[in-house]
Amino acid sequence: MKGRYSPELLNHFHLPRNPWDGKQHPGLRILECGEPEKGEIIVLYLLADDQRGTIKRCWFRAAGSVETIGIGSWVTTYVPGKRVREILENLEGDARSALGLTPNQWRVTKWLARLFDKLDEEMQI
Amino acid sequence: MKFGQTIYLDYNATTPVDPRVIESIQPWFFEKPGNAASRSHAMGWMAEEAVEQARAQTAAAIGAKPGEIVFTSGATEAVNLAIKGIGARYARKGRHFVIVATEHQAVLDTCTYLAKHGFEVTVVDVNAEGHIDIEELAAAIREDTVLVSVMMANNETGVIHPVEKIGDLCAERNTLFFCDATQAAGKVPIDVESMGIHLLALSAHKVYGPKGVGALYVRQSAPRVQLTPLFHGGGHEGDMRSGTLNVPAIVGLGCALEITAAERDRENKRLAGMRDRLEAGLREHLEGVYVNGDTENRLPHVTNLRFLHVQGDTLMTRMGSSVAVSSGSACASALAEPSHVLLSMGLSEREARSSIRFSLGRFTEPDEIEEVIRLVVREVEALRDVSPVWEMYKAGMLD
Ligand SMILES: Cc1ncc(COP(=O)(O)O)c(C=O)c1O
Repeated sequence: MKGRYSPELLNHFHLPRNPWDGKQHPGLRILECGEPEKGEIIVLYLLADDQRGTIKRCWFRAAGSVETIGIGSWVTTYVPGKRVREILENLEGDARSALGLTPNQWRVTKWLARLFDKLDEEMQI
Repeated sequence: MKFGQTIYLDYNATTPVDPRVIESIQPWFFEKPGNAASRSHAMGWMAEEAVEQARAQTAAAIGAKPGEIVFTSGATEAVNLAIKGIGARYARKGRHFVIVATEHQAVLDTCTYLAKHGFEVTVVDVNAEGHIDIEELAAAIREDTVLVSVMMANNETGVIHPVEKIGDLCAERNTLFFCDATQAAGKVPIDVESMGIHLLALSAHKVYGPKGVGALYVRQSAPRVQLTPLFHGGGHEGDMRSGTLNVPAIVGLGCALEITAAERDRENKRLAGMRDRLEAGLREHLEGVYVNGDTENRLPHVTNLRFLHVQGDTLMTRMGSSVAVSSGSACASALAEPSHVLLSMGLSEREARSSIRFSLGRFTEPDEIEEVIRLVVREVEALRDVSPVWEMYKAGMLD
């Protein structure tokens, strides 16, 4: 097991930050990514400032592999205060270095990149 | 008994060596260093005598004669020797093998190899409980079938195959029967005579003996089975397996099998009690826990459990170093592929990946089982707490 997951990733996996508690908020956006047919899902619950194009708060729920849950937790700490454009540009690289991801684990950050791409489109309308 | 901080429930992968076995092995490293093949001095004779005693102990454990035991480096080698040895020796009679889909990788890979070299292999499927249909097995046997290979008990589910019936069938159809008894040895009473077995593989490290030693039983009468050896050089082991014998390991194998046989009935009852408590405790506290495979004809110390909407590897990572369990056979976990055994029982990839094998053993204690129940319940709940899939399931939106 050692080596397969970095300590940073394991920390998020064991102590998930900002799990969604089921509370509704006005303007809450719910976006989903992953490979549901394999039981790999991250759902992000986002509060955004549409004017500024920034994320205010983020919660998550996730199921599947260790990296799916760990990265799902990490991203909730990464995005608040950032502009969606900025997230789109840096998310994958920042996740890889912050969590020491192995190439096999990059698939999760790819799902997230697509999710924020979708959010970006939504926010432009 | 804890090993460091870990509760060890992976006895099907390997067992710790029983201290009594370690004691029996010890003198054969330094005080008694003889080569069992040295005929010219007492040290050689002593080693030979020790090997012959181990051979008698091994034979006794399966109802065989000492002269029918060939010592090997483990079950993988025994399997290779049996299958390739028969393939080469009986090629003129036929080149067809029958095996079962849930066999160990040692059997599957050896047969894949033979299939690339001019042999034909028919793989018989199992049902949802992990059992073969005897009729289907019978239908798979042909005129040119030289060997039927069915394991006695499955390493992942513990499901026990009806070996006597298979033995009868093979006798009737005039084909040889090879049985991989690596997981059954020491737990199931084995009698190669009444079971109609012609070749049988076992391994010391599954019965509290050392790793890297095992045996192949090769029937010597009615009928006399002949093999082409894998190793040449010196003609040891009746010319079936050349190479200086690993005296300490062989002594350990004999001793381990003898202890296991003497304690079997009491130990089986104790293990089944704890295993059943583990299943009941988990199912009492958790929804969506299912046993994979037949629960009737099953080894007493194993349970293969599926946790609905939780990945087995993920759950094992949550438990960290506090519990050692496995999501398949030890060989398979390096590949991170879903278990071929569970897939052939009809589980989907996702279901197979949601499964964990717990295998108990001689040093497992009831309070450890209670601790494992608490731990698994806590971790499954934690994973389901953050799971959108579980939420959908609870809302009735998913099966
Ligand atoms: C059913 C079965 N056959 C064969 C083997 C291989 O045994 P060994 O490790 O002695 O080579 C194993 C071990 O995992 C097994 O469970």
